Amino acid sequence: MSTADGNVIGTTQVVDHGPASQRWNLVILSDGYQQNQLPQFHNDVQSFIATLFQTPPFDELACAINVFRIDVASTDSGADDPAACGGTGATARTYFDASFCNSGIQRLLEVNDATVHSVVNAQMPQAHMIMVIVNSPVYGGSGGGVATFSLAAGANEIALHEMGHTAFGFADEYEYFAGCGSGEAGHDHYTGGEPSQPNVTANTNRATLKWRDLVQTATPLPTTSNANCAQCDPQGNPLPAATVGAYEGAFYNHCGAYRPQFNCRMRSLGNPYCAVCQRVIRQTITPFMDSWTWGTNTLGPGQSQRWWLWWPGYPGFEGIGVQPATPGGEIRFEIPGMQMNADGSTTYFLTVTNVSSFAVQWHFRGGAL
Amino acid sequence: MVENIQPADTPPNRALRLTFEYEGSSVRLVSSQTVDMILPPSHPLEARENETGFWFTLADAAGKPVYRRIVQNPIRLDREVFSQDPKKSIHRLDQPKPKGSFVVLVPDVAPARTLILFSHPLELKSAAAPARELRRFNLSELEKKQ
Repeated sequence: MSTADGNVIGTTQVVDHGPASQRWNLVILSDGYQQNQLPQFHNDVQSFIATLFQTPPFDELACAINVFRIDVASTDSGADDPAACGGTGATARTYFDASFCNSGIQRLLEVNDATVHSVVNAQMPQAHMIMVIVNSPVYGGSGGGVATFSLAAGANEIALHEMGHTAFGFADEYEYFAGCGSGEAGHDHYTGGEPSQPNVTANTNRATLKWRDLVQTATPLPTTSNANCAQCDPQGNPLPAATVGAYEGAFYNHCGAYRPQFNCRMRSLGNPYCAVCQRVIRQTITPFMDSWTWGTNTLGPGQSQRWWLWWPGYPGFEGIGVQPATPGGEIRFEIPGMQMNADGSTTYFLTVTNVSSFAVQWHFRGGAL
Repeated sequence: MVENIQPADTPPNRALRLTFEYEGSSVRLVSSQTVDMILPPSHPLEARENETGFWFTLADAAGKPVYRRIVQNPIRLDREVFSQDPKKSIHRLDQPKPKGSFVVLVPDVAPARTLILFSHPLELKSAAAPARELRRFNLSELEKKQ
């Protein structure tokens, strides 16, 4: 139930897209994995990475992101699962003290975040985002400074939602606190000032709405209104799903607070991030990218492509694998020919070869000139 | 072979990794580390009037903000609960006795003298109230924690 119940094995960089000092660094730790189960943790990390890099807009930002894995072995496997919440009654001696049934809620799976921060500070202090995977098939997770999630189907979504809070400062877009139909009081109408979070607002003025540039002229503002503020708005989306507007019901209030799209991962799990959230993620991550990337292509195992590129100067660039995220030399990039042109431009003749045994998605990337 | 690749000429950046612990409305700094890393760009340096939420600001000797980031309130007055039921996949419940740990990353820049945490009053019923100064730390105080 404490750091006496295991030990920190070490840190491994599992996605290497550049120096940690220049990239956005995600750190994932294990809890409830015994020493001989750590290979399973490695697979679980790879599974989450695959999910992350298939999730817009992270799919286009992968080159800015490194992922580090901190292997922590626990004495026991799993997590505490108290019978008081309908669990098995199991107790597990784990390094970060993972437990379900916090505050009497079975799905509320938490770890000791102070211990997690202590380990990360020692092992990988360049972390921008910290997650803990708990070795349990029971669905659960939690957020805060450390996103925690289990191995149950769909629990990856908890991590993506919590990353929205922790790394990008998103508010919740759901329009209730305890739940629609819970009889909750004090959540009928938002009466506060403008929320600082980028994805909710109390303002429906077209001229000053904070995501006004994403709202088409024909889209009404507010886009939907809740006819009965004593309850959640039961109406469906009257507009195409991608429409950005100001939908009433957000930030734990049935009325008076608005969200940018009808649905978003910050409103309910399993949805994509809305356009406003995606833009904020891009704005946050883009400074961690090289100056530019260009031209995403896929090469099968052993395949080669020949390219010529014309450039109005003398650039620095290379070809680099993007997917799969695992690092390591799958793409061989050669410049067998180069020609300086009379107008000062340069023409490059390139060969790009996938030397691995699997398909690789790659693109060009370059630095500042 | 590749002969002409020029890596991006980005100067190294330094940041302070500050770890805090909180219990109730008490917030204390427990460690400070200097780290070579890039941070996301600053949000607008000045908050809007009556703006709600949580943010931290680095200020210079004259009290002028030099960096500001809006973040989710790391002092958890409530908890988020998840369900596999797609109709109610998320909800929240009160956390009457908040206690925990959080990290703040700020750029280690010469003009900065003070770190200020802003928050609404630390009780759920005041979550929509304008944010106000919660705690202030002198950077010289942070250096002693290294």
